[in-house]
Amino acid sequence: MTTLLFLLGSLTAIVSAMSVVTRRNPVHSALSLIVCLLSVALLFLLLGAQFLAALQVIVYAGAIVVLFLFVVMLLNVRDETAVFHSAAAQRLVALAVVLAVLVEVLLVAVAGAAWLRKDEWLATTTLSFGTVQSVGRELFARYLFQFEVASVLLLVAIVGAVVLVKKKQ
Amino acid sequence: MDVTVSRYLAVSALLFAIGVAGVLLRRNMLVVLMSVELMLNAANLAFVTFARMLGGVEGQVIVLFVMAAAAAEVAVGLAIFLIVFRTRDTTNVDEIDLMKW
Repeated sequence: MTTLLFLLGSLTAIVSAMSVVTRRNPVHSALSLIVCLLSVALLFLLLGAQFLAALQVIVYAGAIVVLFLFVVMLLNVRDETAVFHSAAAQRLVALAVVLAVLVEVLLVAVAGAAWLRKDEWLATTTLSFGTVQSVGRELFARYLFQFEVASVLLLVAIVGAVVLVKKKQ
Repeated sequence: MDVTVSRYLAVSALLFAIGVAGVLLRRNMLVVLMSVELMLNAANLAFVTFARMLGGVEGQVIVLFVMAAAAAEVAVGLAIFLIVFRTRDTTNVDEIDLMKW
């Protein structure tokens, strides 16, 4: 069952991520992004991070993508004539960089994990792992300062967005 | 098939590579920002995988901060796109060369 759900989540995530990159219409990209974020939320659930899965649905798929859709509406963007209309040389270099990044990350993450630690879950989780309570305890005890900094960051972002978009008198 | 740590990391690496491809290949600034979101999400998946692997909750706390940073980045980024579209009437990143010397 877990294997089946993992396959479902990961395949949907990868296919919809590709669809984000290859759609001509930004609205379609945003909708694919929602699908991708939801399937990553499923993977979060499988990894025992229930609080983060809920947050992923609410904050990412709910708020951030809606923000994207609003801006698409405000910009009134048309379908692009071509998906990748950059110069051929630039495309080649980009593909090479993408391949290099993919190989590097795969090598470090996958081979590294397999080689260092026998590629298995080192710890068994308890029932309270990843609940709001356990994450919140950690967040408000050990990471309180960082939490406050994050809230200031969000405040600055709100003020910055308002100041940027405001029409000059 | 046994679902091991490296399978999750492989999914994360693939998502990240797709995000890099989107940033480098697409010229629409909205799609570029969405690809950045994809990359952040891939990093989040790796964080959660490591948190599960080591049985600690710290990795999940960091994901919370990444989400906050992503929200801030999207808000400011989209505001910048709006002004650029107002003044230059384009969404193509190649045509936004105001700061090019």
